[in-house]
Amino acid sequence: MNWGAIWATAGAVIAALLAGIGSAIGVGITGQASAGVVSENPDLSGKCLLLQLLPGTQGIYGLLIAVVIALQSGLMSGDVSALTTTNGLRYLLAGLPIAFGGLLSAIYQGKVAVAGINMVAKKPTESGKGMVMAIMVETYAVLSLLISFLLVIGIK
Amino acid sequence: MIVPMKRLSLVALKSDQEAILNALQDAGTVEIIKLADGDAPDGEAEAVNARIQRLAESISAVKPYAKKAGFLSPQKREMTLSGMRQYVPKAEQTTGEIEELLHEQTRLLSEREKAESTRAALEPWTGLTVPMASVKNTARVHYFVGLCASKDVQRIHEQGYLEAEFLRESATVPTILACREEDARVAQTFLKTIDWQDYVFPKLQGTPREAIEKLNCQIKEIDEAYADAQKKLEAHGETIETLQNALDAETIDADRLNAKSDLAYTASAFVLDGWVREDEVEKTEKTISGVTDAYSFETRDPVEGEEPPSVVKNIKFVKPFEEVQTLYSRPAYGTIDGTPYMTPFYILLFGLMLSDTGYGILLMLGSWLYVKKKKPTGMSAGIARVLFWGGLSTIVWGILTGSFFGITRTDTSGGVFTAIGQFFNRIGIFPAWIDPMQNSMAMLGLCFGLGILHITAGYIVGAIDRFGKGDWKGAIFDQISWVLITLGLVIGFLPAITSMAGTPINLPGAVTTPALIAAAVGAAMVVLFKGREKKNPISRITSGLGGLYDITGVLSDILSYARLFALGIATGVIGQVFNMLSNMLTGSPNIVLRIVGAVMCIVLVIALHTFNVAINALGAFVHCARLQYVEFYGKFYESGGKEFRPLSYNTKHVQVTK
Repeated sequence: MNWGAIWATAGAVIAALLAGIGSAIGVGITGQASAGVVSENPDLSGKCLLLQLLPGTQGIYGLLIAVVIALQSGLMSGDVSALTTTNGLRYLLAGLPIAFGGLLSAIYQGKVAVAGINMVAKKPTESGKGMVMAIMVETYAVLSLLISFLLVIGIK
Repeated sequence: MIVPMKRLSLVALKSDQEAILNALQDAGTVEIIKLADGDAPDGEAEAVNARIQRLAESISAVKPYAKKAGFLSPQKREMTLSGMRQYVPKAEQTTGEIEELLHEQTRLLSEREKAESTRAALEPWTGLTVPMASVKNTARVHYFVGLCASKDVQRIHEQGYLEAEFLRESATVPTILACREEDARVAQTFLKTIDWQDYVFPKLQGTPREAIEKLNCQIKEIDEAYADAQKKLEAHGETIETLQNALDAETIDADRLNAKSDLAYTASAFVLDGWVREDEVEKTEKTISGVTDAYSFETRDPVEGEEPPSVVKNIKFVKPFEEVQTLYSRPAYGTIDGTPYMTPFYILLFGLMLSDTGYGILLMLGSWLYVKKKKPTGMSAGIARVLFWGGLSTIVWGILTGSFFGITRTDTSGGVFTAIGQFFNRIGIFPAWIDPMQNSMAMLGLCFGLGILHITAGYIVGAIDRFGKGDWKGAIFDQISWVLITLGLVIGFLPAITSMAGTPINLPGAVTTPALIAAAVGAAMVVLFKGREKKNPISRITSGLGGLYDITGVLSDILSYARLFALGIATGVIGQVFNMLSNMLTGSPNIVLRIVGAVMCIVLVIALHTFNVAINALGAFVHCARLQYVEFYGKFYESGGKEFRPLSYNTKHVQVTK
C-alpha cells in the first residue's frame, strides 16, 4: 500500500470537505435570513445576496488547497510512486489550517452576515458596514489559506 | 477636503414663502434646521403624505405585472418637474382603480372561503334525500340534527323513544333524530351523555347535495370574478411609470411641505435656519434674490457646540472613492477627508488582490458599460467607477504577475489553455515581474512592503494634519515617532528577515545601523512623550512604555497585508481549476462527442469565469476597503460626520431636468 498517496489524498479531502461544510452552513443560514428579509422587501435582494455570498469563499479556499495538493503530489496525474509517507503526511498536515480555519470561520462569518442582513432590513443604506463586519471574520480564513498554501508548495 | 459650512439665517415675507422654498428646493443647497418644535404637519402636508403612501402601495401591487426594465436601460428617466406633475391626476385615478380591484379581490377571497367552509360542513350530509328546510320542528315532532361518534350509535338505538337515521358510516356519523315533542327534554339530557355535536343546516334551498352543487357554481363564479379582477390588475402593470412619476412629484412636494413646519413664523414673515456649503452661499443668495428683494440673508461660521453636516469635495478622479469612505463613516466636521490619500492605495491594492489581466478587462468593460448605459446615480455610480479603476489596476498586476483568465506561463490545464500558457512562456514578458506560484516568498514580501508603505503613509497624513493644526507635539511624538520605529525596524532587520525566507537582501551596515538608531529614537520619543499630559514622571514613563506596546498592533497591521497575496492566489488558482474542468470535456476520442464537448467547454468556461470574477471582485472590494478602514484610517481618521441632507429633489425613479 502506498501510504504517501493515501495521506496526501486525506489532506486534499479534509481541506475541501471541512471548509466546504463550513461554507454550506454559513451560506445556508444567511440564505434563510435573506429569504425572510426579501419576503418583506424584495428590493433588498441584491444587498442580501452580497452578504450571503461572503461565507461562501471558505469552500473555495478549501477546494483551492485540495487542488494544489492534488497537483503538487501527483494525485492529479496519477503518478504517485515517488510520494513518500513523510511527504504524504506533510500534505495532510498542510491541509489542516484551511480545513478547520475554513470550517469555523465560515460558520461564524455566516452568523455575522445574518446579523448584517437583519441590519439591512432595518437600515438598507448601511449594508456596506455589514459587509465589512463579516469580512473581519474572513481574515482568519484568508490567513489559514495562506499558511496551508505556503506549506503545500514548500513540499518538494 | 471637507467643505466648510456656513450657518444661514433667512428672513422673508410669508407671501414669498412658497416661491422661495420652490427655488431653494430646485437649487438643492440648504439643509433646513428645525426651528419650531413639534408643530404637526398641516392638513396639506398630511394629505400629500397619505397620497404618497397610497401611490407606493399601488406601485408594489402592480409591480409584478410591469414590463421589466432592460438590464442595461438607465436607472432613472429624465423629466422636468412640470412634466412629472402632469402625471399626478392620472395616477390619482389609476390608484383609485387599483385600490378598488384589490379591495374587490379581498372581498371575493373571503366570500370564497365562506362558501368553501359551508360546502365542507355539508359534505357528510349528502345522504339526506329530502330538502334541508323540511327537517324542522313541528308542534308534535322534535328533530335533533348533529354528528355522533360511531361508538355511541348503539346507545341511540337503545333509546326506544328516538327515531334515528344515520346518513353515513364514519368516525363521526351524521345523524338525524326525531322524537315526540314531549320526549324532547329527555332526549336532550340523553344527548349530553354521549359524544354528540349539534349541527344547524345552512339556510339553503333543496337537499344538501343540491346545495353543494349550487355552492360549487357559486365558487366557480367567484373564481371567475377574481380572475377578471386579476386581469384588470395585470393590465394596470403598464401604468407603473405614471404611478412612479407621480410618486416622485408628490415626494418632492411633500418634502417641501414638511420643511414648512421646520420654519418659525411671525405675523407676516418667516425665519429659515439652515446649513449651506461655503462655496454655495453665493448661489443660494442669488436663488433668493431671483424671487424677491424683500429678505434678510445672513451667514456665519459654525460656533462651538453646533454640529454642521460633513461634506467632502474632491477632484473628479477621486470623487467615486468618496463612496468607499462613506461606507465606513463620514469624517467628523473639521477633521480630515481621507479620500484623496486612500484613492491611490485603493487602486493599487485592489488590483493586486485580483491580479488577472483577463478579469481586469472584464471588470473594466463591465463597469464602463454599466455607467454608460444604466446612468446610475449615488452610491452605485461611485462603486462602478471604483471598480473601473480597480479593473485597470487588475490588468496591470495581471501582467506583472502573469495571469490571464487563470492561465499562467506554466499552465497544465491542457488543450488550448496550455497552448496559451506556452505562448506566454515563449514571449517571456508574462509575468513581467514576479510569478507568485514559483516565487511565493518574494510575492509575500512585496505584499508586506506595500503594507508598510500604506501604514507609513497613514502616519504621515496624520502628522501633516496635526502640523497644520499647530499640534506639533502630537505630530512628532504620536505620528512621526511611529514612522521612525516602523521603517527603522524593517530596514534594520531586512537582511535578517530575508535570509530567513531564503533570499537574503544584504544591506550595508551604513544603512542598517542608522535605521536601527532611528527606530530607537522613535521608541524613546514614545516612552518619554506619549504621556506628556501627565505631571508625575513615573506615571508618564509608565504610560510611555504602554504606548510602546502598540508595536504589536503595527506588526499585526503589516501581517494583515498577507491577504493581498492569498486573495491573488485564490483568484488565479481557482481560475486555473475552472480551465482544467472545462478542458476535460474536450478529451473524447469520438469526433462528434468532441465537438459537443468543445461547445460545452466554451459555455462552461464563460459561466465559471463569470462566477469567479464576480465573487473575487466582491472579495477584493471588501478586503481592500478593510485595509483602508482599519490599517490606514486607524492612523489618522476621525469618523462620525453627519450626512448633508439639503432640501432638494429626492426622487427614486425620475431624474429631474430643467
